[in-house]
Amino acid sequence: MKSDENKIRTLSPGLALAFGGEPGDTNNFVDYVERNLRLYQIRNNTELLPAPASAFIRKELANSIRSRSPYAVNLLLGGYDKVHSEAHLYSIDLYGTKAILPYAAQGLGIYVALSTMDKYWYPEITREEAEELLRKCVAEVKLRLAYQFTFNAVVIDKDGVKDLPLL
Amino acid sequence: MAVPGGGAYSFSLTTFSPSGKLVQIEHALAAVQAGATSLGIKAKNGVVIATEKKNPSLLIDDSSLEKVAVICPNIGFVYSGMGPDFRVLVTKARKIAQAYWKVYGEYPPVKVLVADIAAIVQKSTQQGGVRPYGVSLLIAGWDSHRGQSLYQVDPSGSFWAWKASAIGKNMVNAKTFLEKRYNDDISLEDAIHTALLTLKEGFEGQISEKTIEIGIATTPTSPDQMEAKSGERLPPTFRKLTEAEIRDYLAL
Amino acid sequence: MNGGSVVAMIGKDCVAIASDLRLGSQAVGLASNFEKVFPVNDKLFIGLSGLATDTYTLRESLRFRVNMYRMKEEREITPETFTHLVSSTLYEKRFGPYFIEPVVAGLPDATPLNPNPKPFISTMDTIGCITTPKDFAVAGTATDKLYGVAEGLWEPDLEPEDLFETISQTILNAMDRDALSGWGAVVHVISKDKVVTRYLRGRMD
Repeated sequence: MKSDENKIRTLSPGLALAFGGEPGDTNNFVDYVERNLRLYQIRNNTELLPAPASAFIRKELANSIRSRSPYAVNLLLGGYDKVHSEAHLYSIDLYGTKAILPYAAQGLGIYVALSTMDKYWYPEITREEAEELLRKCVAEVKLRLAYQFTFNAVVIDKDGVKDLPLL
Repeated sequence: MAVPGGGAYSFSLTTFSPSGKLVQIEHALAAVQAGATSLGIKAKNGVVIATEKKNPSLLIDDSSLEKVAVICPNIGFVYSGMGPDFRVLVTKARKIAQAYWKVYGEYPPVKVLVADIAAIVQKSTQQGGVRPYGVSLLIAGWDSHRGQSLYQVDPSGSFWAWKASAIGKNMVNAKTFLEKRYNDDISLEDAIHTALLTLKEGFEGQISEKTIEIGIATTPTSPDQMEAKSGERLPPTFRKLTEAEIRDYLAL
Repeated sequence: MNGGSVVAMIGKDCVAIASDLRLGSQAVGLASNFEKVFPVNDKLFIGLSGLATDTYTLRESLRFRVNMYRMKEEREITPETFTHLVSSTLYEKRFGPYFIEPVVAGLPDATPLNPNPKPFISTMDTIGCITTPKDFAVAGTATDKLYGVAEGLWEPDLEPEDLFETISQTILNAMDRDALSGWGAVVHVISKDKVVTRYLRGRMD
């Protein structure tokens, strides 16, 4: 088993997708999304903003779940909307359930991570504090889960998607 | 197909002539002009549509001739032009009305059905391999949104709402006659008589309950007329007059 | 699966419709901002409780259909007609249904033929079988509890303010007895000349 796979994809300068689920499906679906967002950019000469991008991804998964061969993919979509100067976070599951959230978690560590954020997150949290909280979640997951894997993270702001060192 | 010379545009339906006309549509209108006269009058409390029904031979059983058609309980059609084309449109209109009922639990407003039928008629002026419908329609009906209304649909697919109109052989005279006779607060009874008078003007031969057809749309007067009782259907707002009723109107 | 509840009630020349705000995944609560009631037009709302992905999908397909209706017919859809539209939309998927039990609440416009229209609510099962109650309609994971509380609290001819209180207490108390509903609620009271929307805070556990 591989324990250090990068499960975050940069979709466009202001958009990144973290994904989990059935290994073959995930990469194929994320490729599909990435290429379609790129196609949109080429056709219209503008990037799709996070909100419409989330609607597109949701619809694809919602259609997929009722198709003959559904994708088993869960996603966290993060983006920075340069037009409205807003940060966006969406959680989208394999059924196409979309939640608009201040903080979210998916996968094996969901209980640990959500509990940690329930406790420490607050509405006026700064970027530095949020980064620290993310590290705290990772540390907590490593401490409490039997499986050990490495994490990677990104920060998205008006300047784009950058890797966030976790240590 | 593209014969050199002026004839080329008359056969390919989807080709404009250099002067910007679709000649086939004009030919279709000519077919309408040659058809028996039909007319419609909108009254204060209803609409009447009427047409002459010429029986070409004494030997034909006239009970099988039907020129005024009920589409759904609130809408009826009458036509001038080609009978077979009319029946095709009637069949389509009835299906549209029932499909609408399946989705919305009520019959379509007149304008919505008219627009759908006009769209079908328009299609046959643009699609390949078809000819236009050789009919003009007069459509009478009532709905809760717009009340009673009278529409005309032409072979081109255009449609208008009228207070009173006539189509077919005698339409020019009939329209002039209607213009003189019409006023905005005419009652349905008066409108039926005016319709008969107008038909009589251009009528060749004997007018009788056998040689004309009449349909009327009425307006419900109280809300309970619109509320279906359990196990019962709503009374229709459009219906054809029976031969006996027409005889009575003619006798007056 | 995601949890959530909707309730609608008839008052005197007014109707109210309310939903909780929780979105969950089994027992885990994910979001406390997931509204399940959506406006169709000024005086007509629909609540879509059930599978959350279908809440979205159905809302979008209904919005499409209502917008087409509005343009084609040059008028607003009435609550009765809208109910039939929802019903036929659901029945289209008879053999692979949307997992949604919709609740419709609206005030019909006065027309010359019907100058004093009655407030209207209706509800359907997942394949579109319509019921039109005279008092209240409930749906979602707290259905049983909502029935119980509503049976106890509702009375005929409530004024808008009293109706608001009744529906609020109904949904709050029913939610507290259901693990899959809660995390706050939203209430819309539709009366002749205005719609009042209020957000209720509930237990956050």
